[in-house]
Amino acid sequence: MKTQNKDCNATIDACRYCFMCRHACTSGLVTATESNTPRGRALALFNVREQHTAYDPSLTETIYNCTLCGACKQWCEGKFDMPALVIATREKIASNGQPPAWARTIRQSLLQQQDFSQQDLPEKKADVLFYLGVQPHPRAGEILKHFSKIMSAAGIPFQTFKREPDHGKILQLLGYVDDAKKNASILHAQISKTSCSVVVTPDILACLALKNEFPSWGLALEPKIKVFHVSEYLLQLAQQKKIQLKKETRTVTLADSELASDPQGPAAAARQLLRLTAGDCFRELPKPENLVLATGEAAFGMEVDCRPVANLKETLEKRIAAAARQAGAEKIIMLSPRTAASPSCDGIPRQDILEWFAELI
Amino acid sequence: MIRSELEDIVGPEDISQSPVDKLAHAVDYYWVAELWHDRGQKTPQADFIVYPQTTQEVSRILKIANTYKIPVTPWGGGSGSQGGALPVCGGIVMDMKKICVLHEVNKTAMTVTVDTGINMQQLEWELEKKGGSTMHLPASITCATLGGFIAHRGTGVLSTKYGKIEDMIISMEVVLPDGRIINTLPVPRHASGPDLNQVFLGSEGTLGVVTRATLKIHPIPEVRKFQAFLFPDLRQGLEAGKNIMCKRLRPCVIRLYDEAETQRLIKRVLGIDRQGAYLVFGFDGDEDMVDLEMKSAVRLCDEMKGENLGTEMGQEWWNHRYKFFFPPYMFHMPQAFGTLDTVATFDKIGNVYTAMKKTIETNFPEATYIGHFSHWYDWGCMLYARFIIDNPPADPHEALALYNRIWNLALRASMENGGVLNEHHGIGLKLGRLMKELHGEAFFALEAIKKSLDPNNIMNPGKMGLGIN
Repeated sequence: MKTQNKDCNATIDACRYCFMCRHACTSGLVTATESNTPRGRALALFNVREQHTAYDPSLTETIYNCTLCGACKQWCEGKFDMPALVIATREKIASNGQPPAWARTIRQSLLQQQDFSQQDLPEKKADVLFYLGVQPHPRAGEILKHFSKIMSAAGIPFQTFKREPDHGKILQLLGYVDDAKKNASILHAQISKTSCSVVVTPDILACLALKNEFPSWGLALEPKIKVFHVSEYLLQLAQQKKIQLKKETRTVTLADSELASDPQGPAAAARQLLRLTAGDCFRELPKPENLVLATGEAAFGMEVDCRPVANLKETLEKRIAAAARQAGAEKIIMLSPRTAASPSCDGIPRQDILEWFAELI
Repeated sequence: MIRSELEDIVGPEDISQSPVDKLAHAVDYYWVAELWHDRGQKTPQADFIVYPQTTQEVSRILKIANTYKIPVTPWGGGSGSQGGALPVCGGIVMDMKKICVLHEVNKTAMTVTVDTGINMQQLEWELEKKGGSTMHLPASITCATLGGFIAHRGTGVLSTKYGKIEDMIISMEVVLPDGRIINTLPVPRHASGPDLNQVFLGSEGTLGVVTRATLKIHPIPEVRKFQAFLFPDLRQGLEAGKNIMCKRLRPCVIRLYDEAETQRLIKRVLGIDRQGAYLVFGFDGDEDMVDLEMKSAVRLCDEMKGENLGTEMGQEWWNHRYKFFFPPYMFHMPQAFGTLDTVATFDKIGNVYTAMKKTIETNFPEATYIGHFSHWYDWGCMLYARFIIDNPPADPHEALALYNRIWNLALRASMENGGVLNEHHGIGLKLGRLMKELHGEAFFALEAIKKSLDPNNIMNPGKMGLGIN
């Protein structure tokens, strides 16, 4: 388990005696434990790195309890990258076959049914490929209907896989990099066979995988293929006036994605879209000092019951609901069907941005 | 057997014996604990980490511990620098972070009642939503719990106006070592006997566990403004600060850095590369009053020949006030470092600074001495002196011996010149051995209180010099 990565070693050395992000750490706040914090993790990883103590299963638990929300890094004046350290450590744990049972279950699930063929390709060809990326999802059919409604209004044909390959991002976050690459290569091949030039996905993880991980894994899509998160794509449609939208009259707010906080990325596009359609009815979530209000999308990457920390998902949902209530918002718009899977929280409706947009047509 | 009894109280989810939990509670912000960990030495560990969620659970845990004579070490954020939360005698670490309910914000009395395990920054954010603040804003606000501040008489960056934690507390709920739950009087100013609040404030978990407190809150001020000055030397800066306080102006903050710290830290963090002593002060409240007081304070600094660096250089300091404590800006392993914070009256504080500086520079040429004066009173101020050794001995025992020698000599120099052992970090494990020297015969009174409340010496044994025979 010796860490070779220079940056990871710097993070271990910096974080093991530093408490300054305690208030921000999602898993630390929810579990109220010392070990589920960047300091707790770094302390234990130092011991393993220096071979002061043997590897212990309780270390695995705390490494996998991290939600990867990035609040610690965001708060840190030195910008030490704890999420990167956690992912690197998960890779080592996974290579030793020691991840927790729930992570192994997810892996099994994602590796199954990866045998794709010509029959799984779209029946009709079109420039735009809609890749849901969150199979299985309880409302997959509805999500597709929403996209269909929008595209029909815009007069743009699109294609979808009959059966979708996994994109690998969840496996990567769980430390199974080789498996992630394997799944990604299948998706890559299937996308190539569609001859599309645009891939639109409502899922942040899928979007990140296609945009970032695929190139780094040597699986870059053909240069002609552009990848969009739905918020980016819908913004384009709205700006190009390809669809007529009703004005949003309810007060709405946006729950940012902790994984896609890039100022040019999906969250920025969603914000612009909301401002465009909701005007004064759009409310920013009050975030003290711009602290991350984690949605848990990296922790709950799959629609299986994988809750290593009791009440974590519910707590994160409640934190966002409380902030929304403070902002006076009647509805919370989420950036991914994953995080919008629960239709409401604490009495405040949550809606995926795609579904919300479709309602305005 | 013991685990079963504890589980019966808190449930299996809230008790841990896992190696990572034990390790996380075996290293706090005390340099010696860090040293021990860094050099692969085994740090003292608890047998059980227990997370009570209510005062009643704390009470039941203490009853069991008292029956079996098991040491109990309360743990808040673990960010104390004196080793006060280390379970040096094993037993139970009682992690208080799950007792964190905000019970009431009383806007009429301007108070908040809250459980002591709450993270202080989280509490502040909750209060800010309601337009208030405790104004207790130390650098450790993000990591420490309210209980931690109460345990060691913590102070925040705005203490010069708003006071230390002991000035903010209205009343407290305390669980005594035998499990009895008591409440102090509902107001802190009375003539109904000694103030019990002040017995438990600063007792560092040696007399019981403070589980709930009512604190003052303040409205968010209309404005907060800052001004920075550079003085040719520290003495002039000290005189200027004293004049501001003795004129009874009410700055929310005054911070004066000596020449060495101005060169070392102010340059690094704020980018001000100048010789001299950097002083920053601020006022908050209604703008008219702030401007008036600011004008008066600026005049006093002008009279002491300070160079006015302007408001921007003061505001910059405020904006980056916590940056000093983050890696890589903070001192870190393998450096040896310690904060020799002390406090004395204005007529003595200059001599305390000089005596400690001389002691360290004469006896420990490998050490650097720097300091700033950060909490000011009507009668004196606090000195936040530090020593830093970039290359301490590699052998942890040698390093520890050197470290303790520095503390002993520096603090004796402080005490001989009118200073005390500590101003706001507490005593803990680090300074317990010097408590009798500080208090003299009066230490008997503290020992008597300890023996009376905790005859079995279960509460945080080995700390504050109490319960050691």
